[in-house]
Amino acid sequence: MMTATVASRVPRGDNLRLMNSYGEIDEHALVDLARRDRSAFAELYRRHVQDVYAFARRRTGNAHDADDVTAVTFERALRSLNRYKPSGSSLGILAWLYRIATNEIIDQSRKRGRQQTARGQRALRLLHNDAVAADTVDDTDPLLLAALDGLPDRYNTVLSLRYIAGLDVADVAAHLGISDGNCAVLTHRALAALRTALQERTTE
Amino acid sequence: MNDDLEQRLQRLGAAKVSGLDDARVDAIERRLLAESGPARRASWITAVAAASVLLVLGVALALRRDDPNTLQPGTSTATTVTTATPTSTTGPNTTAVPTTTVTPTTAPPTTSVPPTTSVPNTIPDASFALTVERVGNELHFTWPRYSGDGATQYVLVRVDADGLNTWPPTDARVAVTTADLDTNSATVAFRLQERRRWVVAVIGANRRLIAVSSVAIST
Repeated sequence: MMTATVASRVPRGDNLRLMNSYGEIDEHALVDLARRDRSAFAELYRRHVQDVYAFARRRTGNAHDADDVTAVTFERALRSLNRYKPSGSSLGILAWLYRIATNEIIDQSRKRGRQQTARGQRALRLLHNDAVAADTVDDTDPLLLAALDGLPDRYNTVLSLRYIAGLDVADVAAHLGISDGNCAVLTHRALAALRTALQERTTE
Repeated sequence: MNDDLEQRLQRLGAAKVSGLDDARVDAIERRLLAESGPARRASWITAVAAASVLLVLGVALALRRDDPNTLQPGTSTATTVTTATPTSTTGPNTTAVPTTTVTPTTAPPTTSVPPTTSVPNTIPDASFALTVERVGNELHFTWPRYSGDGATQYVLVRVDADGLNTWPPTDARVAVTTADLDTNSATVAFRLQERRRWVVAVIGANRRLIAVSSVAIST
């Protein structure tokens, strides 16, 4: 008796309103709310933070950079949420977040490239490899990541979104503002460039 | 021709990676909530508008005070305005307010006074414990009955990493409201098996906060 539930004691629709939390709101409505209410944005963040982090973790190959990328991605998303337009992707706003994360990863990679010599980068990669080895559940591919980092931004973006984030061609095309056909061509060229980059790195 | 390379990329995309730990997730969320974003920029304009309305109403009130034939609001005026402001920020969440409540004349236009300006002093410290337990797709909440005076409802609210820092909460934050003060538990259907924070608030007339529970975390 002491712990009779509210649902059984209070007539529905009178003083009781059952769950109507963000957990039950569809993403479209939540995005609209988040444009006005920061706590709704926090809910969007909660829903997608682990997906964005996992993508960043795979794409950067280390936890520290992935952490930074995740934080910056959501900060940028918060600032530019008013400009977000649903692309019709089955992933919803997550596809947009992946795009922001990819841009941030490319920015970070560029900054590192300016700050470090090629030798320094190799040393850093060794450090990253150590970090990966310590994190036994990880299965990243440092050589592949290094080759991706060296590609032109557009190639890097299309391969990251298509294969690492797992977006389909239409989603990637929508995010890049190109047709599906052009996206397929771009992907093909990017793969060819990646193959060349990998060959160069293995013969270094 | 590129099949092997595509597979290598796809393997990378499917690689098992450890998740971001809870403490870091909370830290980023706190930073986001403190960040100035579109919501804050939007509210800046409405805050100016609200301030203008308050100014006009203040002048009107002062003029009425000068009239010896009108009732004087007395020294409680300032307090009334302060307590009324949060009520006016509720938006769609006005269903829980008794419709007979007399709303001060300053309340309706002030739809978006930034919460940080008035909230901190209105949220009491946690004074009782809330527990939560998941059973299947439901969350079962339990708290001690409130035995003090002036309470009219329990409100179960979902909160962020910062806890309850805004009152009243937005409508979507309110999970359960009940006027049955003998109740000390609630059951909520909540399928998402992720960490969520909850607080029970004891409220009185005009949705005044009387007591707040500790934060309970569901998973």
